[in-house]
Amino acid sequence: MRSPADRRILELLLRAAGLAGLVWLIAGSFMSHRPAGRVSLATRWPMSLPEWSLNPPADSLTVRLAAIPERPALDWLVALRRAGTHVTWSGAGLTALAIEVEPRGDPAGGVLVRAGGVPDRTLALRDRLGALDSLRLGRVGGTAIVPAAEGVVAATIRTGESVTAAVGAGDTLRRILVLGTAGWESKFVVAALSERGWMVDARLAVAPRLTVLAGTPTTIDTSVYTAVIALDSTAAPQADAITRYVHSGGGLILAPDAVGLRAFRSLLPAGPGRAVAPSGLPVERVTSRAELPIRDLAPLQPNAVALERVNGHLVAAAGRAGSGRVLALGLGETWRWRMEGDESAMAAHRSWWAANVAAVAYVPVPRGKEATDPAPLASLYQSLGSPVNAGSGANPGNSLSWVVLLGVMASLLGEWASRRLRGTA
Amino acid sequence: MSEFVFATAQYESGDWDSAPLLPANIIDSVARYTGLAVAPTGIIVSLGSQDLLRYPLVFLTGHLPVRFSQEESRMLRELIARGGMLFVDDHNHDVDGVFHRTAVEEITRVAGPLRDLPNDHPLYSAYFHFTDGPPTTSHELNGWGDNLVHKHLQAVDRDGRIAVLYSSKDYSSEWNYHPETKRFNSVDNTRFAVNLVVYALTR
Repeated sequence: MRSPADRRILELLLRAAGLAGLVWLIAGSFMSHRPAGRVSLATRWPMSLPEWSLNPPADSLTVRLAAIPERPALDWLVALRRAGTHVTWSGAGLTALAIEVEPRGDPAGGVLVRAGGVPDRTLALRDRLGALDSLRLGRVGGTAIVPAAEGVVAATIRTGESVTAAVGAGDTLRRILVLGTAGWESKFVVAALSERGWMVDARLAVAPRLTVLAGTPTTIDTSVYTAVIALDSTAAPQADAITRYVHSGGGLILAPDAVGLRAFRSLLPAGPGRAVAPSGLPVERVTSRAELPIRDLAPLQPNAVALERVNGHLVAAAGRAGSGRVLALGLGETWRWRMEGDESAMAAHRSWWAANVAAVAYVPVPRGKEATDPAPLASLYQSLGSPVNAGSGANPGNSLSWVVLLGVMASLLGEWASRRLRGTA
Repeated sequence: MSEFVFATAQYESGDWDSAPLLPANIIDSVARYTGLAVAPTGIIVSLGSQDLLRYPLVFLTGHLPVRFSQEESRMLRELIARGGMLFVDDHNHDVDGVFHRTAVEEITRVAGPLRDLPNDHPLYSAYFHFTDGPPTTSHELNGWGDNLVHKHLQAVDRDGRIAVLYSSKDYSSEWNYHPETKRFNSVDNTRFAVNLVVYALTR
């Protein structure tokens, strides 16, 4: 420093800056306590709900969440909001977890559990009777089929957070309609599903104006059929009825020879694709599904799901059309797998066709009366909107206060040190 | 879509190839009367080979005693269990001939007892309608052979479908002619074969 006078001026400036900062901090503290809003601690705010309901604490209220609130507490916050208090929330690291449970459209029974959430977590599944199974979440969630489940199914992760969904009672299973040309494929599709326990009706074309009926085929409607299977072009004349059926909730399976039909183009989840292996009668024996003639169904339509690939070829894709589901298959002549495969092939063929039907089956499920929360984080967003500062959960005003406080301390310390070094008190 | 292939069973005992013109005649009828895709030639498949399972409808005939080997029995059981169908015809048109006795014993051992098939069974209306049951053959009508008209076919039922169909009517002789000869018939006597094929493909 050049002269003592300059130094005194600097000390004055530092003291003034420190005092100004102090004044700003004190004023800010008063401002934060005015009744414009409140930040509550995560663990304590639910206990304050009764008090807030009687005496609203402020015009606006921000709750800081360390965990997703229980449904009653969340509903209470929504009630406060509707009563006039502006309620927002903040919180980081909340666990995203969702579960869906539905009876399988399969005479063999079973309950399908689908879960979504952070990958690599393991869910413990249980119902009111006890543990059911565990489910490891992958990049796109996970599914599990449990033989049976009663009432409400809960999925819990290791940290204790859980989601619940009611199973519901599936409506009485109905019939399946198979449309195709008389041949080994149609025969063994009907056989496999009949062996599984389905009542199968079939219209099998034998000659240009002659169709063999199996069962009692009737109007294509969701009141009759759980699913319709179109094996080839003989289903095309009924495309309009099938389209209406699917849009009203019915399930449709399109075998490779039906995927390419223009009549079903609007329903396709993928394709129409192209044949990549010759059909006919290859010399080699078919011992597995992967050796069947393939129709590559690519490209996948937006919002459709790829279910199976063989040697890089898309051979099963599912999607929604209206209220119904459509499954396109790229594996043909599956009867050869059943007949020529090993001892397990017949059962595997049956299970595979049953799983295909279950994937699209129309099974109306009345909503249960049990209180459940299948997707709590989604419910939170739906109820209270997006978080006000979802990134860190910190108040940006607090960060600025800390900076100012450090500045005040530095200014006052510098002013004091300067005076001491000059030898003055 | 794979085409229908008519398969004739080759077995170790007996004369399995006693009706060599029959397959062509049946193939001709299926192609003539239906819209089904059918292979232009039949195939001969060993009853004891794994290839048997590629042909869910198999035809077996002969005059001589039949004894299935262990492997033939095993493959036949597999064929039936997986949903296939065996059609056996006694080329002798006997009531109690050697083929009949031995074939029935073997079928009973492998698949179970044969029972008379009702003459209103869906087989008789699967394509053409045969209101009186199985069509009578010329051998039965002219009294050549056993002087009997067999009123029924016999079958082993498996889950409501015919797994083994047995005939003493000697369709092997009745249908064992060149398809070109059909034009001399006032009524095509191979029409029942179409019912057999359509039934096998749809039940």
